[in-house]
Amino acid sequence: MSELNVRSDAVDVEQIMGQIRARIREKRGADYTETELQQLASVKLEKFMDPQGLRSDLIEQFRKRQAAPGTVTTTTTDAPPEVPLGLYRRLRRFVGSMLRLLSNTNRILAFDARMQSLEARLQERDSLYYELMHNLTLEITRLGIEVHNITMRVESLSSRLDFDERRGRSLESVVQYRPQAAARPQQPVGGTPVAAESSVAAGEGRSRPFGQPGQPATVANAGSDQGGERRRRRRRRRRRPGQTFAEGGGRPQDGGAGTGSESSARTHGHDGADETSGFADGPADDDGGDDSTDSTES
Amino acid sequence: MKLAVVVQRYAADIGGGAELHARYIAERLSKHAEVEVLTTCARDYVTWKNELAAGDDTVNGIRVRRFPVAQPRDVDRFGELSQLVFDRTHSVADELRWLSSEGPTSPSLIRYITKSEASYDAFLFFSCRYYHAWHGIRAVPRKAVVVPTAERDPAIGLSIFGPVLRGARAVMYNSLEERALIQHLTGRQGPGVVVGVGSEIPDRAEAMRFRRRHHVRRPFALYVGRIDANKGCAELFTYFQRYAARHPNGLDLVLIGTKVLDVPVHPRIRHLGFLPDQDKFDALAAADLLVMPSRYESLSMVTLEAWAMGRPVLVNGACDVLRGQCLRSGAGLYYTTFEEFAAGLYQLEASGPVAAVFGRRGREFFRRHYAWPVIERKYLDMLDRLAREPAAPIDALPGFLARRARTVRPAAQVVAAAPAGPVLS
Repeated sequence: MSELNVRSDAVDVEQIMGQIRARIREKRGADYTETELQQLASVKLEKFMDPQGLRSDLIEQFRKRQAAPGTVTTTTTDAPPEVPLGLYRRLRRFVGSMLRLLSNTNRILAFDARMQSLEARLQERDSLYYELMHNLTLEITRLGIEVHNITMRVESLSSRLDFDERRGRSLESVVQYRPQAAARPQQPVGGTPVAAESSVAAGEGRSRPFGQPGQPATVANAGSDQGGERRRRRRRRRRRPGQTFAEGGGRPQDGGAGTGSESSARTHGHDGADETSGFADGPADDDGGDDSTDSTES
Repeated sequence: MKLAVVVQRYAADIGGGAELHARYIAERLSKHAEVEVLTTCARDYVTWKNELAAGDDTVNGIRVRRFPVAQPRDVDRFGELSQLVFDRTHSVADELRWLSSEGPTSPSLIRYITKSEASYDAFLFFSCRYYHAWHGIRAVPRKAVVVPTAERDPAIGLSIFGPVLRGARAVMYNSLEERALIQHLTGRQGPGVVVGVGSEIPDRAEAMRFRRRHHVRRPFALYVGRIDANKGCAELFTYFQRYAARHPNGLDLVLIGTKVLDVPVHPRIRHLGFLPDQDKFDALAAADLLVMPSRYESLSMVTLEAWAMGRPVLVNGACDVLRGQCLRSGAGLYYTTFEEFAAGLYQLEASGPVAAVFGRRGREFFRRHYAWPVIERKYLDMLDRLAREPAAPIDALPGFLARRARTVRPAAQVVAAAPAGPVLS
């Protein structure tokens, strides 16, 4: 995945937009496009998601249908219905005898009755098949939506992770490319990289809250005056065991500057820890000035 | 030198873009020349109802002459005529009817301009799409300087504006994109310069004061302006809610301005209402960035103010002007999709990788192009040039029958056919 690296004033808007678009293109494989989202939003789920249409005895119905044999009803014409007298009766009798002479109507009627029965059974089975297909479609749709949702959640989680990783890397690269940071190894004071870093932060006038990693190194860096401070701190600790400096109302100035840059403090502050991370000083600005100074320059 | 600034509305508390622009220019030029403002009695740009007293007035030391509006706008009639001229083949007479229905129809203002042409060295007409500018320019073309404040909307594609913009002595454009659009649509060749407008940036703005007063603790993106769907706020809300769901540690959104559209109830969206200028600048000082979601801007003053305060901006890439300014200044990003919006917010957070660089560039861009000495010098140079050069005649209106021939293309088609995109050089 392409990373955004900004290390100097030679920042090109088009280049940044190109990097943003490239990253979006890479993610598109797993993510929805705007069009897909619109399509999904326009689907009427009620059509598929009607729980009232489900039956639990569907298999029983199928078994019953298969078990019941087709009943064939036969109709005989042995007892002809009553008809009016006269010419019509004579004519009917004549035609009837002729038909009996030429064909067996019992067979035809029996076949007709059997066809009707078969058709009725097929209709019943069709309705069952329809219901079965409906239920299958319903389940598949549900599963599809669920899979999409889970994919989205996974994608969302991975993008959050990606976001945090990129932010971390960018911040690291920004810190590395600061002139003070570049000069860090040459600084003799303190003798350790951690101490040098603390002096960079102090030079910027930024403070960090207590209780963060690197604090002992900061104290060691502060020179001989820090010895008395350390003793005072120990005495305070003894007085109020189990209590942190922050809880005890300790001022940031008491312990010297923190070990990180303002920007890293800001990043932590996004989790809602603004009051303790010094966020209330306003947005960070790499030129080291505070906000009121910025506006004065303009 | 005596100048007349002609604008549709004028008062100290009117905050519309062109009106504020006109006020700033009038007040600034008053240091170099005698300036009078000729305007209407209207306050409301929808109805143009006469609310201010006709006659002479003084606003921040500038003499203002107000003239009554003959008839308020009939919104239904204006809507019907807009549909006709924007979307259907129509006539020049239809366009003139549209112009009268748009307003502010003030024949007395036009009569005064015609009568007192000799009293002024130049007339600065603001917002070419309104009645006062079109009739005013036709009344005094030899002394007309136009500040079109034209956006890429169908109105600028109407055929009646071509002769007027070609015939004016000079055009003071707000941006390179506006100049390219007007030159393409009207074929204008005469004097013109891209000027824009400066802003009254306070000497001191305090982020902490804003945070304390409004109880804003988290880092935030700021929107300043009317909260309206026409300004792209609906899309902004949709995008921001998605961004907030995706990035729980990201920025909040703070809105400053009058509410026309409902603001969604969301724990990370704060609407503070209309605030005084000092609070606005304090908010800009406290913000990580300014977001400008509008698709139609001839020049976003608040964007320039954000740059003046050293804040980066995230703008709607569908607006050529804003996109072009971001590219030319190198002090802002633009978005056309949600993904770009979210990525842009990340890039421009104060703790992000480019915010500080963009902030410095924005301040430099503002200082180089929009500082008041630069703006004033451009106006004075142009007026000086016009005094030396001869004036060209303005095209006459078509005759009685030609005016009524329904042969004019729909304005929306005309504008859509014009070249789009930012101007990079």
